[in-house]
Amino acid sequence: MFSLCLSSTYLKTDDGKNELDSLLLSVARGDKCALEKLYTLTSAPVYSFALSILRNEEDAKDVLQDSFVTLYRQAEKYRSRGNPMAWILTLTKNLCLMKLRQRKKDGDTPLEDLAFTLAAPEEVSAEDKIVIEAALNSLSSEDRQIVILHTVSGLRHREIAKLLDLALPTVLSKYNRALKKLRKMLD
Amino acid sequence: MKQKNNKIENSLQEAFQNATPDLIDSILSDCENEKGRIITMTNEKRFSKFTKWAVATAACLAIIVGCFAGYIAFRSAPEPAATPDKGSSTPDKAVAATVMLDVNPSIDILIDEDEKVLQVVPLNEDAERVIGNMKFQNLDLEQTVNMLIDSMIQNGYIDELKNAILLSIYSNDTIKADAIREKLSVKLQEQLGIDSVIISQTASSQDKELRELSQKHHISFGKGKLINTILTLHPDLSFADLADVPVSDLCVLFYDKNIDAGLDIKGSLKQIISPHSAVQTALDHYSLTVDNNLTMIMVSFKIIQNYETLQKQMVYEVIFKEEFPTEDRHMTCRIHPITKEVLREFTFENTTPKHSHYSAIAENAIDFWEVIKIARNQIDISSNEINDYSIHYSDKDSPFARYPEDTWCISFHMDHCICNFYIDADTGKIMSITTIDRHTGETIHQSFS
Repeated sequence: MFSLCLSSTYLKTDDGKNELDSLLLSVARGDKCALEKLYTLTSAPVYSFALSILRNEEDAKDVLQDSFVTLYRQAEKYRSRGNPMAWILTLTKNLCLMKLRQRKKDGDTPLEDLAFTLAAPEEVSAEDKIVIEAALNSLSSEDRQIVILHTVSGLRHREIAKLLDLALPTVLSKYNRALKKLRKMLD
Repeated sequence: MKQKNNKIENSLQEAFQNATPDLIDSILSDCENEKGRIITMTNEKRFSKFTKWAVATAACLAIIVGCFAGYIAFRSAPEPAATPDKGSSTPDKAVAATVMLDVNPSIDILIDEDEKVLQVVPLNEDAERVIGNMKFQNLDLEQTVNMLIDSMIQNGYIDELKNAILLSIYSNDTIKADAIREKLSVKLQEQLGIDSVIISQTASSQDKELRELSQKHHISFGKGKLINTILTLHPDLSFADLADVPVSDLCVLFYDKNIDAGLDIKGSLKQIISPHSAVQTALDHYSLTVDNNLTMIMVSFKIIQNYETLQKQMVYEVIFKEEFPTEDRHMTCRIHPITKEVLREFTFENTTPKHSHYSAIAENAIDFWEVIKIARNQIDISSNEINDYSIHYSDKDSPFARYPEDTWCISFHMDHCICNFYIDADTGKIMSITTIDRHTGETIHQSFS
């Protein structure tokens, strides 16, 4: 757990970004070891971002799997500029949108209308479950994405504004409001 | 606030990290099937071990640094300080607790184990006036507080509008401190009625620096502690700004700000009017409308000194600038942030021939309210998130014009950012937005073609 928390904070640093950059370039050359390392560093941001959009564990797992397979296939298209995490999350976002379209096509019940319950494995503590369920049930879709992109993925607010196509003050305002709401719920 | 945000952020980070499934084997297997990309890595295990070693080392280092920092913090923690004693006589019995009352008068009440008063210490001139010739030694604590509050009402320190009291209990015995706090806060609300606000807190130790700072400003340690908490919400203010401000006014600074810091609040905090409402009140006061020749409106929340009472008070200051070809008129109006009462107003007319540029508002220009609406819609914020704003008109011929069109420039000040909009006065189109993140200081400029 410590190593995972360390990696998430690490992604926000210049060293973290440089390492992601070089890992992506190695993956582009077919280096699976680099892919494994990339997975260790970025799977939590990818999975939680997918979960924030889809609110379904199985679908989010599918997107997590597809994101890394697609990343492996498309890494050669990656050009080093800005934050590599934003590139990975753009890819994840597109896969999520495809999943949502598929869901709509299949006539599934919109998951926004249902309460989210985490059927996570045993290693997820009751406390963690409460935090995740609070975030996924009490916040709007956009607010969830903003909060997770900043806290778990380590994206800066302006990078989030770009990824979600929102104005920066909107992101800042929504982030602060959402955090306040969560704080009230979890206190 | 910042600490609480960090706590939530860390909980979220940790929870999502823990809930992330490990699918790497399945991913690698899928990638294996990708055409022409099968490369067997031989140093896989070594690399993985190195990673684990590096992380384990980092973890150990973090623990060692943490323990060391904890040890240093423990060694440098201040000893519980003696209670300030400004009275004429020193109590013989041991002080079991200090009860601090702050309205604007600030008073320390020293009590013994049996909650009998040893000494009542006035901390400022207002407190001396409240205490007058009354003697409190050996009286019950409850009776003493009752007498002091009565005197504050008689001396005009507590009335229908100013009815908030800060009650702080300092004792090494936290259970006793909590019991006194609970008992007194209920009694105080009974005495003052349901419209009153009783804010209470306890402390088992006194930070030496804060104690000295509070003494310097003639307030109790409890009020100093509250001010320190408020300063985390309003970093643009200072301790000295707030020391003289009555507790009833301090309350408006944390209305709806989710303040915690161990405070118990009985009664409803008064809601402050919005800056928008303050502007409308000022417009009504001057019988102005936005159709007049107003080229600037500036509204800000301020702490000023009342020259009659010499007390600090919070106001909305609204400034209008009316522009004519030959003269300018500046009107300033100070409004009470709760009652909307106009506290003071002054007008300055510059009738000397104008040398500066005259910004005539174009006939077809959109008005103030429309500009505010456009800007607010763009960033999706509610009016209570805006602390204050300024808006001014700049015509294209002005020497300071930033755009070739006539432009409205509007600036919103919020807790987390300052946002400046440049809006085409003719079409209402946003030309650019500049955002300054107040936490990081980062400035982002967005232009819209």
